[in-house]
Amino acid sequence: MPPTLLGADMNIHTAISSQLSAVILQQLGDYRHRVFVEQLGWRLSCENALEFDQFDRADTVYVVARDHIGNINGCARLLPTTQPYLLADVFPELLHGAPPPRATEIWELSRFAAMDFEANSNIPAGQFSSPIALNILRSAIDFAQQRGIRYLITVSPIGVERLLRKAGAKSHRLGPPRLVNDHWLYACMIHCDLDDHLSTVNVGTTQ
Amino acid sequence: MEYSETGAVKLNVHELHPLQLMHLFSELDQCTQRCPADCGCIAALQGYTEWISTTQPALSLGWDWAYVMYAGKAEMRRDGPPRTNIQLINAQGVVIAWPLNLAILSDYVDQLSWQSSTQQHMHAQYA
Repeated sequence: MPPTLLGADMNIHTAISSQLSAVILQQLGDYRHRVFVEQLGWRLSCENALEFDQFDRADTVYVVARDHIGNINGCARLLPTTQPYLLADVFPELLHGAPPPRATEIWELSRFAAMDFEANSNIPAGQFSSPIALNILRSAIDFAQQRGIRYLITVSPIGVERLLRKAGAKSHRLGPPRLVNDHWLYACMIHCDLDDHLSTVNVGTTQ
Repeated sequence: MEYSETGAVKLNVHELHPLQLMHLFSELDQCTQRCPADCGCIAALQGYTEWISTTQPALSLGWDWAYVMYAGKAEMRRDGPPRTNIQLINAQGVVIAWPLNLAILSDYVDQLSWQSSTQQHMHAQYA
C-alpha cells in the first residue's frame, strides 16, 4: 500500500514487512526499542537494539509514520486474531477467563507509539491524544475498514479508554482492568465500522 | 449471563439494579497531580473511579468524576458516561443500542452511593 500523505511533515505506510524496505524495517525496530525499552522501560528481549518479538511475522501489518526527512515518529502493529496475538498469548488474564476472540473480523492493535524524538515531543508514547497518534489510529481503522475488519483489540493502560472517547472512537471493555507490573491494564475493543468514526476529529489539535 | 459476539457481557436491564458493585480503585487525573501547590491556578479536583461486580463473568464500570459546587457545597459528581463491558439487553433479549446502553448505565451509576468509597480511597492514597 503506498504511503498516505498527511500534510507536509508526515506520511504513513501501512504494509506487511515484505512490502517495507529494509531501511524502514531497521528504523522501525530501532524506534520501537527507543520507545518501549529505553523510554518506557518495558523488559523486552531484543537483539542488536532492535525491538521485534514473536508477533512480528510475515502476516503482521505495520503502520509506520515518518516525518518529512524520513524519521519514524509513530508506529503500530496489526495482527489477525486467527493467529497468535498479544492478548491471547501474553495477557489472557485480562479476559478474566473468557476465551480470546478469534475471528477474521477482529484484529489486534499493539506496539502503538507516537513519540517524535526529533521534535523533542513530551507527548507520552501510546497515547491517542497527539496529531501523530490520531493519524496512526485513523490509518489503522482505515486499513481495518478496507479489509472488512470490524474491531481492533488492544491491551492498554486504563487512560487510553478516555482518550479514545475524546478522539471520537467507540470502544468497550472485554473485562475489568487488572494490575499488571504496577500498571492498570485492560483489554479494549475498538469499533471500526461506524460511519462517523473519527470523522469529526481535527488532527491538527491536541487534547 | 453470557458474552456477546464482541466480548461484552450481556445483562438483562432488569438485572442491573440488584447488581452489587465493589470499589476497585480510584485515581486523580495526572494533570491534577502534577499541578504544583503554588502554581496559582484554580484548583480543579477530578479523576476516575473503577468498580467491579462479584458476579461471574465480572462486570466492569468506570467513570470520570469531578468536584462541582452544588448548593454552596462541593460535591463529587459523575462526569460523562461510564466505560464498561456491560451490554444491556431488553426483556426480549434484544441488544440495547450503545448510546442508550450508556445512558441507562449512567442513571444506574447515579443511584449508587459511590462517592463515599471513592473519597475514602482518594484520602488514603493521596492525603
